[in-house]
Amino acid sequence: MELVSAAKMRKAQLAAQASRPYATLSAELLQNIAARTGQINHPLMRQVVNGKPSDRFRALAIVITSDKGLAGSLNTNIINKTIELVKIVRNEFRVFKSGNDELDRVHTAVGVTEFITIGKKATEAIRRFKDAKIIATFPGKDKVITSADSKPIAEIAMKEFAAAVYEKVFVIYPQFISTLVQKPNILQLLPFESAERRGVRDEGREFLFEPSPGEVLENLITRAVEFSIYQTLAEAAASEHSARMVAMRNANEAAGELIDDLSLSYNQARQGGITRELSEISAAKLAMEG
Amino acid sequence: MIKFKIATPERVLFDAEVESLTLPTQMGEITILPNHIPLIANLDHGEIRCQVANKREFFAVSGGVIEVRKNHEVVVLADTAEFGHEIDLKRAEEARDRAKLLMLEKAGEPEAFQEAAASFGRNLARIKVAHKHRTHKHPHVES
Repeated sequence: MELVSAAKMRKAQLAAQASRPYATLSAELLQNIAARTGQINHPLMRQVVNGKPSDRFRALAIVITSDKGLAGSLNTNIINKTIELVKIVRNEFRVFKSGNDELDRVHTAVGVTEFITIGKKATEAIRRFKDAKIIATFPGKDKVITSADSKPIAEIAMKEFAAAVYEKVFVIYPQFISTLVQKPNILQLLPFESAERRGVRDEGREFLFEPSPGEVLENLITRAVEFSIYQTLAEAAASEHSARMVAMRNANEAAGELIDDLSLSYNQARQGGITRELSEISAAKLAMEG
Repeated sequence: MIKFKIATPERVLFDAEVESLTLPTQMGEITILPNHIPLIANLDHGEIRCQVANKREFFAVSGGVIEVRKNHEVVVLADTAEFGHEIDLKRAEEARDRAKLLMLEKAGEPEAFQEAAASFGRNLARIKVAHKHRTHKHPHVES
C-alpha cells in the first residue's frame, strides 16, 4: 500500500504544482484590472450585511477530507480546524455587528456555521456536531482533479453568497507543503479577496475591454472562485496521498520492528527448550551409566 | 514577435513566440499582431490559430479570459485547451451528437438548453481543430 500511495502521490503532487502558473497569471490579471479601473466593485467581493436585526451571522464552511482513512492525522486535523472555525464564527458575530451600539444590545443570537462536506470522513464527523446543518455533500476527490469536480461546488457557494444566505464562505483543506508536512488551512473564498496589490503598474489609459469592464470582471471572478476550489481540491488530493504514504511507511517500519522483537523471543524460547531437553537427556544418561 | 502563453488550471499548454494569432472572443474573432493595444476580453469556445515561421498551430479552447499586454505579451487563461493531435475525433463526434440530442430534448428549459448548446459548440470547435490538424499533417490526403 505504501508503493500504491507513492505512485498516486507523485501524480497528485505534480497536478497540484501544475496549477500554479495559472494561479499567478489570474492573480496578475485581477491586479491589472484593479489598477486600470481604479477599484474593483463586484457583488462577489462585497460583504453582504443582512439588514434585519433578527438575522444571524451565517457562514458556510466547505470541508475537504478524504473518503478513506489510513492517512495518519490528516482528516482529524481538518475536523479540529473546522471546530476552531465554528468557534471563531460564533464570536465573529460581535465583532461583525459592533458598528452599532444599539444593534449590539438587541442581538443575543450567535453566529452559525453551515457546511458543505467533501469526502466521507468530513460527512461522518460533521453529522456528529451539535445542530450541524449540511447543505450539500460530495464524494471525496482523490483522482486527478478536473474543473468538472470544482465547478458544482463553486456554483453552490456563489449562488448562496449572492443570495445573501451566507455572509462569508470558507474552505477548510489540507494545504500541501511537502510529502511530510500538510497543514490544515482556512481559506476565505467569499467575499473574494484578490491577492495583495503590489506595485501598481501604469500602462497608460489606452485600454480596451471587450465586451465591457463589468462583464470581463464577472467572467474573471467567477473563474477565480472556481479555480480557488480547484486548487484546494488538488492540494487536498496531494496531501491525502502523501499522508497515506507516510502513514503506511510508518506502519511498515513498526510492523518490521515488531517482527524482529517477536522473532527474537521465539528463537530464545526455542533455544531454551532445546538446551533444557539436552541437559535432561545428558542428566538421564549420566544417571543410567552411574 | 509576440510572447504567447496558454494556461489552464491543469497545465501550461503553450509558451512560445509567435508572429500572429487569431482568437475567438465573445464579440467575434480577433487577430493579434505585434504592437496591439492592451486588451482584456472574454474568450469564447472555438479555435485558436497561431503562425510560427510558416507553420500553423491549432488549439481548441472552451471559454476563459484573454489579456494582451503592452510588451507584446498575450496570455490566454482557458478553462480547457487542447492541441489538435490530442483530440480523439471519434469521441468528440459522439459528444457532439449527444449534445445535439440533448438540445432537442431540453428545448423547453432555457438553462439546460444553454448548457447543451455550449457543449455542442465546444465539441464542434474540437472536431474542426482535429480535422485541421489531420489535413495539416498529411496535406496530400485531400488532393
